[in-house]
Amino acid sequence: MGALTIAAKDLRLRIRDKSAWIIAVVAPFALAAIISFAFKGEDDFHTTMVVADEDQSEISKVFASVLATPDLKKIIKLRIVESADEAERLTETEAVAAGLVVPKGFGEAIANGGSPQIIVIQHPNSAVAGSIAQNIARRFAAETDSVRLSVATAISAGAGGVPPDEIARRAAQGSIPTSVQEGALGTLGQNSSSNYFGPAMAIFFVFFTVSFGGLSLLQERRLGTMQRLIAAPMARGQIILGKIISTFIIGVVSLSIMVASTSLLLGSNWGNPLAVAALILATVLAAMGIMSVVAVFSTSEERAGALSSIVVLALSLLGGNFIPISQAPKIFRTLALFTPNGWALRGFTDLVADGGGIASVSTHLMVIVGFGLVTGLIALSQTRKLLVR
Amino acid sequence: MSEPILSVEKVSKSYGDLAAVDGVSFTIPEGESYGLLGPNGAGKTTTISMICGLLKMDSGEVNVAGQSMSAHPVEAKSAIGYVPQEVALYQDLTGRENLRFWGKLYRLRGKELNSRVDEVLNIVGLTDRAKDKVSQYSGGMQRRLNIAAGLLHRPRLLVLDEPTVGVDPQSRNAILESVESLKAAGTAILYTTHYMEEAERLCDRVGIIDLGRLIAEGTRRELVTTIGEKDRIQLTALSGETTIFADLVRSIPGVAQATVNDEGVELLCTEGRKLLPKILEAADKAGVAVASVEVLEPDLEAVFLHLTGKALRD
Repeated sequence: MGALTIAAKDLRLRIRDKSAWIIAVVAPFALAAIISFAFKGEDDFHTTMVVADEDQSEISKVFASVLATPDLKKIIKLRIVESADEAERLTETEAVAAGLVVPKGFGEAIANGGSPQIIVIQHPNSAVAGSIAQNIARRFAAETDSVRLSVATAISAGAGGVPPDEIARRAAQGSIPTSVQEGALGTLGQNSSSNYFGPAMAIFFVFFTVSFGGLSLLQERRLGTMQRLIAAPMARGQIILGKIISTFIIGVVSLSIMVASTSLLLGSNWGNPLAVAALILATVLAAMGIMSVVAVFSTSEERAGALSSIVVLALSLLGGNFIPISQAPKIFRTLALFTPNGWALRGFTDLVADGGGIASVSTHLMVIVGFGLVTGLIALSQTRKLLVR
Repeated sequence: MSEPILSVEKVSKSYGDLAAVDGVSFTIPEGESYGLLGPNGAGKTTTISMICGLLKMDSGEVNVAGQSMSAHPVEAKSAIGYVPQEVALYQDLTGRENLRFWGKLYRLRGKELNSRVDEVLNIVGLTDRAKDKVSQYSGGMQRRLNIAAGLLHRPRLLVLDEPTVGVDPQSRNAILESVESLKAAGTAILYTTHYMEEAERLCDRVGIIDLGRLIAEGTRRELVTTIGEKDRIQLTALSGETTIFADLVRSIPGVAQATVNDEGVELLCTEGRKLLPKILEAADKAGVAVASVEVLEPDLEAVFLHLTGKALRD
């Protein structure tokens, strides 16, 4: 099969190309390591939050106790106030970084099968603390709902009428505290910088790594080897397929080496391996699609190279590859959703923060693959002009 | 005449209003070497690009080994060994790796691939440098390896597009010798060139192409007879009025043409050798000091000049 022969030749050429190793492996690892060490001080994160328990139910009291567990106490200094107004005032004056309000009727709603929300008050200047507060609130609500269902099943009481004190008792004994701690600490553990910048740099450089696929088509034209490939007894599509195969393999290997090296050498946590693998495949596909569009609309390798750099830098700035997007203003967090790298980075960091599996990043995967398919089809529709003399 | 290995029928290709190739037709039988001779921009490369399936033709038909290039391109291409004008090799692969790659694309595998790689390396004299990267080869060696890549699958038709352009004389001779040995082995060859002497040396038949049209075709002898049995005589003058001399010799019976040029005067005449005494007498009368007189047999250069009114290298 001509495509496999072409792919094998391209892989051999890339393996011998020292600059390819630098872009695919050395540079992303080095930058991830440097930035991680530079931000290491940020890992010793401390913040002050305020909690207003307006409900005063058995369940809401469990929430306060969760925040007082030893692991969370390492990073969160807690103030307890009586009302939501007081919590809001303290947050607005920046006396605390964020506030959590358990509204009146929270416990009763839980017992009756509802899904009440814990209110998070966040100051714009404390994006990280706000993010942690949101994570804690979301986790607690989800875990409480889960316990309610199990208790309801156990006592065969149906969807409603579950005794709140029973839920509280089970919750206090059960998984809620641990799970909330993991969820909150996942973004701020000892290796949080490398957990963020490992994927960030890997994604940034994988765009450059896969750009060789489109560039090599232009290079084959310049070298005259394209003529010889076209003159060979095979369909022209085999040439494109060969390029796709080799580019995909190199992209996947590059990201996989980054996962392995940052895990082993920087102690990064990437999360569920299956979900990480799926995100790697999707990210490489999207990067290939975008870089192929750049190549097919360029008339020379030089122009394609310059355009690639501009596109990758723009996407990386918007997607949060250089600055943690959770600390950026809302407009940038919104813009990040228009980039495949933004979704990929979000997927990788969410895996660590939430400890979820492949289902937890299914939306991310669909969006990233969608980017790849749309841009890939645009590029394929234009490749014919590269396959003529 | 044996079944043609290549049949080109009324092939045309235009770019806008410019007709790059205009209704070109010719055939090459098994084992024949055919030269497509013409100046730069005449349409040679465009013609062979359509023959090799690199370029879609606007009209016409190309058949290679009985397979239509339009209807069955993969089968037709299998019979062709294409050697492009520029060196089409991967500089960071060794000579052997390059040949193995191109051989695999022509479906050679295993022992057959290895033995063919060894054979073609031997044909082009690069066995000793097979393990070196192509980037370390001289220009001439790269050209020879470029030809070798087109021979791997024992093509029934070898297409060489100006393989000696920009090559030093020593490498050029090595390339021509390689082509001669392939010709002797019975490989049909389509050879494009703008070097008249290469076409005369290598090709059984020659097609002369200019402005996209095939204006003459035949063996060297057949083409030369189109301009008659006239000799060319180049008289080189040391001093004297060559214009007066030219006027004088035009009156000599048998002299068809006398043209003053930078060196002296060029004459076109029948039985030139017999006229030499009268020509030298006229030079003496005109006061022209003669440095040398050369009687030239008619060649393809003269044919091209006769047919188009311009030199091949214009």
